Amino acid sequence: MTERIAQHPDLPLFSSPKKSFSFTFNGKTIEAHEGDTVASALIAAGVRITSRSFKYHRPRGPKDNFGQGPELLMTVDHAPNVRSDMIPVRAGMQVETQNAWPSTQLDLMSINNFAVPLLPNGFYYKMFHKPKWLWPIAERFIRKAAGLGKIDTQGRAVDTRYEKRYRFPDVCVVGSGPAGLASVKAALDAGKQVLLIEEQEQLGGHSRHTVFKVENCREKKLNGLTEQEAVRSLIDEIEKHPNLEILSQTQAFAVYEDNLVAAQRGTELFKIRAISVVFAPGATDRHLVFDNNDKPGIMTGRGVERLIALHGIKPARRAVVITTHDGGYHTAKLLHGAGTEVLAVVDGRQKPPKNDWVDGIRKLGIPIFEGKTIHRVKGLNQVKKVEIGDLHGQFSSLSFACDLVVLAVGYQPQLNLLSQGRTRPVWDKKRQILRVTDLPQNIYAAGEVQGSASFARLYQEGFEAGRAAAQQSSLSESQRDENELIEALPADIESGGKHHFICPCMDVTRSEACHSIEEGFDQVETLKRYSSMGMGPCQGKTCHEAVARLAARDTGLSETEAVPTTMRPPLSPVSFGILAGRAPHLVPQRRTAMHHCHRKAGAAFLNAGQWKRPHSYLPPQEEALMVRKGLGIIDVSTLGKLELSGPDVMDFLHFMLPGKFRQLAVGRVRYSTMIGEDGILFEDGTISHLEEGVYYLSTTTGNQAAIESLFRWWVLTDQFKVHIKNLAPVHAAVNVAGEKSREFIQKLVDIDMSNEAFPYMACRKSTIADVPVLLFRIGFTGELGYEIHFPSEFGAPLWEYFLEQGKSYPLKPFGVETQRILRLEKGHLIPGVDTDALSNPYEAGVDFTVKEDKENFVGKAFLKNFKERGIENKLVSYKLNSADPIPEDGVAILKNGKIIGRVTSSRMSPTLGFGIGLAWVPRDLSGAGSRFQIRLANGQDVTAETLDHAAYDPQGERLTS
Amino acid sequence: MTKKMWKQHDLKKHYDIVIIGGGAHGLATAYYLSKMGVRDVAVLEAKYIGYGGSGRNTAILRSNYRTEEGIRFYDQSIQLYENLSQELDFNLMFSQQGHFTLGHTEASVSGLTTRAENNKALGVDSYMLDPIEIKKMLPEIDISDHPRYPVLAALYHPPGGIIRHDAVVWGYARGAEQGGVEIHNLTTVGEIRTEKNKIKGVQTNRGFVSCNKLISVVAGWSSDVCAMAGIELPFVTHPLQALVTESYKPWLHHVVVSSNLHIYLSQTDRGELVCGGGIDGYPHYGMRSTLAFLETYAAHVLELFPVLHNVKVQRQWAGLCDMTPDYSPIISPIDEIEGFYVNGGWGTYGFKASPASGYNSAQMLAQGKVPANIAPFSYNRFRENRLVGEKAAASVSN
Amino acid sequence: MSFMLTCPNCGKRQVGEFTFRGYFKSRPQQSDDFASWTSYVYFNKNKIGKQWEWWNHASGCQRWFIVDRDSAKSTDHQSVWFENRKTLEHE
Repeated sequence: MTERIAQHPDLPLFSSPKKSFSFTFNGKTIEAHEGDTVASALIAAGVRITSRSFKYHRPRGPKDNFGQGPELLMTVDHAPNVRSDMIPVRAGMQVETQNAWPSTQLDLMSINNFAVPLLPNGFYYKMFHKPKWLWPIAERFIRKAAGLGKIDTQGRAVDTRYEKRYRFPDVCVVGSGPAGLASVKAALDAGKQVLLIEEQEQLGGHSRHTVFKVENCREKKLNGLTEQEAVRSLIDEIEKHPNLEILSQTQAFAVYEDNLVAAQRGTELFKIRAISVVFAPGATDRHLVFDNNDKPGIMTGRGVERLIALHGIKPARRAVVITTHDGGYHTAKLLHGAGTEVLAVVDGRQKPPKNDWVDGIRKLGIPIFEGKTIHRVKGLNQVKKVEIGDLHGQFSSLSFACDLVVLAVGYQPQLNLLSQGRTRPVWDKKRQILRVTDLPQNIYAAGEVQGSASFARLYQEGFEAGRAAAQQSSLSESQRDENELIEALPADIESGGKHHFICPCMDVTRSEACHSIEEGFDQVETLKRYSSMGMGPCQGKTCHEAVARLAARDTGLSETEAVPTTMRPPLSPVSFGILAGRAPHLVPQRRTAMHHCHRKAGAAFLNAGQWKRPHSYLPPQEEALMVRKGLGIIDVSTLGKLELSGPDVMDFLHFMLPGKFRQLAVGRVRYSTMIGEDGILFEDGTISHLEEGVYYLSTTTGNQAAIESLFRWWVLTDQFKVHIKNLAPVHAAVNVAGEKSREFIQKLVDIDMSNEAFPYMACRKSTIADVPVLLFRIGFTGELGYEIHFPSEFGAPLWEYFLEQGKSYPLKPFGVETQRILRLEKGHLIPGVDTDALSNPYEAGVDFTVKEDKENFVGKAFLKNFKERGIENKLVSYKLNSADPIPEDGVAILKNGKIIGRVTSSRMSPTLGFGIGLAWVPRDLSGAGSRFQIRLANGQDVTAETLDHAAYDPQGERLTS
Repeated sequence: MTKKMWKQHDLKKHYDIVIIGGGAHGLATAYYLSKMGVRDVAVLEAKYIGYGGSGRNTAILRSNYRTEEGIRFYDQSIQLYENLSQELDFNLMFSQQGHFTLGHTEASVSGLTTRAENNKALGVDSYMLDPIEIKKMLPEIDISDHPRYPVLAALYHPPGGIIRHDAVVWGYARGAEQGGVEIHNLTTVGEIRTEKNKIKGVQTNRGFVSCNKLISVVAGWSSDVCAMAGIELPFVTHPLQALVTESYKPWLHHVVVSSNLHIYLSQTDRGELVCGGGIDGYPHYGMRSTLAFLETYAAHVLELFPVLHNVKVQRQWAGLCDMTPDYSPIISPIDEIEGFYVNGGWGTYGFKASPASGYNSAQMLAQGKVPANIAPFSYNRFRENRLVGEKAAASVSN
Repeated sequence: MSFMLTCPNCGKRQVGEFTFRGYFKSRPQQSDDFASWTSYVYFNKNKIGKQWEWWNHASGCQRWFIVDRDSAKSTDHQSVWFENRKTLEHE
């Protein structure tokens, strides 16, 4: 039974915590001590079954207390799947077990334990699909039975604040065991900025609970100390170094290209670009497969040592230690000192060495069994008995009644960060471990991750790695002595019985794996996917070595060909909150200089790309009539504006645009489209000749940055001597439209605004209220109107000035939706809305902008091809009957049930009293008067009539007068 | 006695048809060929079946495409999928949960409307939903003004759903083997030999194999394989990343895709959320994962579903997408080389096409004529500048 | 995207700051046949290995440059200005 201990004879640095507080576990109050994790507090309180397994709902309990496996996943303060052994417990925490009903103690789903083995291997692929109606029903049950924690749909902690942090050290060291600390020291000695990352709250790694004496260490002052004291001394020495930053409770969960290390701490994400990275993540106890190897009451050597040394817990009444190296004797000693009765140390070595540790155990009267190992454990919900025997599982010779079995049979390196999708580990026969030896430039590995070794060896490797990292030099291969090897036991002690769990996370047994291989899944990747091995919460960290070795063995390969499945980021799960950080909006919100004026005026806003633009100030239908009958002003500052000049500007325009512009006189404006090399229309706008050799290209809101970039690419590759000035953010712009617009603006400017002096499709310069302005008489809305561009720092004042000066008309603002209605009444297309990524200018009806006889311009070859082919479909204006409902944008045009086209823009025309729009129709319906059927979303059909002119003011009189 | 799904075979010196690529498309082709009585077929797979896109995709099935040719083709695929578990006698776990495509701008809503209406006209079940209706089915979705681009509407497609992608690979493989086709793993093609513009055979790491017909069905690696025959393709291979979360009790009962945020998610029968986004912006063959993908995905998914903030990413990976200029595949003979065919260019919409791709490819190979459903997907269309209309619906499609 | 691309002006920056335009291809003459043009617009070598590519430092200096990048291992690349492209190791 578990208890707290107040002291320990063999741990010099043992101290009893001072504070205690309480939290709840499944509604019950539990006492915790300062320094406890949630799991250690529960263990001290005697909780033995902490979860139920995924498929069979077998009882599970703490194993390594290191956050690797699924046993300790719990819901903490409504957050599901929390690793309770990795988080410090706090007063008032609410902890609940998961995936068990009514409780982990008595889980009715454990019926699976009996039912599932009766089903064939991979049963869900072989059942439930015949008859066809069975699967949806079966699926509902399977989904309900699956899953661990519950997503908190009430979003109780949704306001949690997540932060992102950035670091740029010279050397980043991951892991603070002896190797990591030595690396840090070496890098600091070399004068580098060092960042040390440690997953636990305290530094020191496994040495924190190790009392082997240090000997032969290059850092002489550590020799003779216990490892515990040695790391304490190292930490004290470097902790306050000005060039060192320590991030504890921080887990490096991935390393990406160019040495980007990603780490998580609480609710923070650390993004670290280091010049060099040293990985010293250590190793965990090896996973051993034998009958019932998943029972509560089986813990790893280091898992037990953590409980004793770090949390002051006596973990059991009676224990048996299974080992193959001195580490097991060390654990046995610590257990004994904590008050546990150690019934035996079962050593897999035929001849354990004669040294202080082995003899020490003997002297305590603890029997040692040589050349033996564990065969099986027995007990319903937890370990009650353990049976041992020969290494190959043939003869079980002895049994012990106990409540704890400790597995200390070697170490498996934590290779994940070294391998992560980049390279596969290989089995190192000499070191009896999987290793990653090919590391990218400026990445180093040191310590147990290269194979277990003594403190002195770890320190040496760490120091050399730290020095190499500081100098960005290469690192020579580390050596191993014979006596530093831990011989690996067979990956599965084949002792009979049905519950040899290779993958405890997904409840996959050895026999299931063998059946899968027999069925044909004989490569480790397909075996993994078919059996689900390694696809659970630990993502293979526990079992990857066992899986690799057993897969190799069972498919007739040698152990050197044992290859685990691909390890991928993250090392441990990372939440979306941490990854998203504080600003979920990754897209900036862009506003014009007049934005707050629109807000004050009560405009409703819409998103136009990254911009917020007024949708309308009044109902759009009303606003549209107001412009037609009165005077309106719209903020069009978001337009693209490029000023082009330079010796080659005319050649450039001729090359970039499909039209001809040599005859475009100063002061004149022309509508132009833009075509890609593929002959596709992707933009339209106006080109104005402002003054001799200076042109002004205005384009739609969405494309302006892309077009400037594109122009610069052509200037570069074709060597045009052209100056390009992007005036989009520099100029604000408005469009004043309505019958009275000339009269209104004449009052404000000092140039002649008469029709003769300033005709349609012309541009002029002037000043308004002493602000220099460019005036363009163009006609998107179909009313007499002027687009006025001016420096954007005068945006709001000039806007207010216009409204003030126009009060008598009255001049009223109108929004983008209103403008859409107005332009639709004139049949003007908007590229990207009425055309798509396949529309060429011929079918879009803007072939007048293309002058094919130019010798060389962008898109010429493809345009020639399109023209020769002729068009199949055409974009046309249409009108409906006045009583007809208005179709939604995008609905289909049908003929005898067959799709023949689509509506791109559709609105009610307040001016005309019937619905209008633009649509793609087959060529034979593109002639004026043709009729076609539009089907609304509700299934109703309306008849449309093709127009070959604008629905409103077809002769354009209002524009050009 | 455990029944074997497939066997190891010696590589013969000659086959009538050689299929390069042991993914879902290649195996489906092999399966449908065997059903047509064409059995002298070998599938040559460089690694193990399902190694490529078939084993890496996020297994979303749907047929709510935009163009008539797209809708017909993918609808044929869905219909084949609907009965495939029974036909292969292997549970593919096709869960027709219903599929949402959210629209966050007027332009995308218009495009979704076109898809809904075109689907309806061709008998495929799709319709538009407004935000209130969306929230009834996805209670935790944020339809307020708070997101940067609020949800305006969604295209809902009841027959869409998810499937166990590995099972499709295994089911087709077993079916093909049962039909007499040979599947060869760990068999790499290093050279394609032609003589007088006619296919002779392939040089593999296990010897030379001659054949009458050769088809390349290798998705992201297509340019590399076809270059062996001197054929250039209009593909660019971009990585597509995906992630899976930890396993949770059932929460999401539909597939959700956002066309503007470029993210999608669904929940497997094992309880994990499977998530993905758009392709990476540049070509890359490394199939490596990045942090930027995780950050961007997380930010966008939390805009839609704030309650997922403490849901954790368990694993991320990537696959390859062979992108074409018109977001439609090539399933076609290559006129320049008699007996050579290409099936590729599936971009981010390949897995859902596997049955129709295999079915029509088998017809094409066996009968020497291109079936009507795949006629639009010719190799020559790029030389003739006749692109397929799915490009018009360009955005993340999944 | 997390590899660092070298901008000839700004040095090594996160690849997210850049946009990829496409492979470097030579524009045909107007007199060439249409097949040359469809090749230019639609077809690509799409190699596994090094190719010349056009990149733009969109969130930085906004300049265009050529990168000879290994498409299987992005960290292996060389960036030059268009004028200096002949200094790259291969065509």
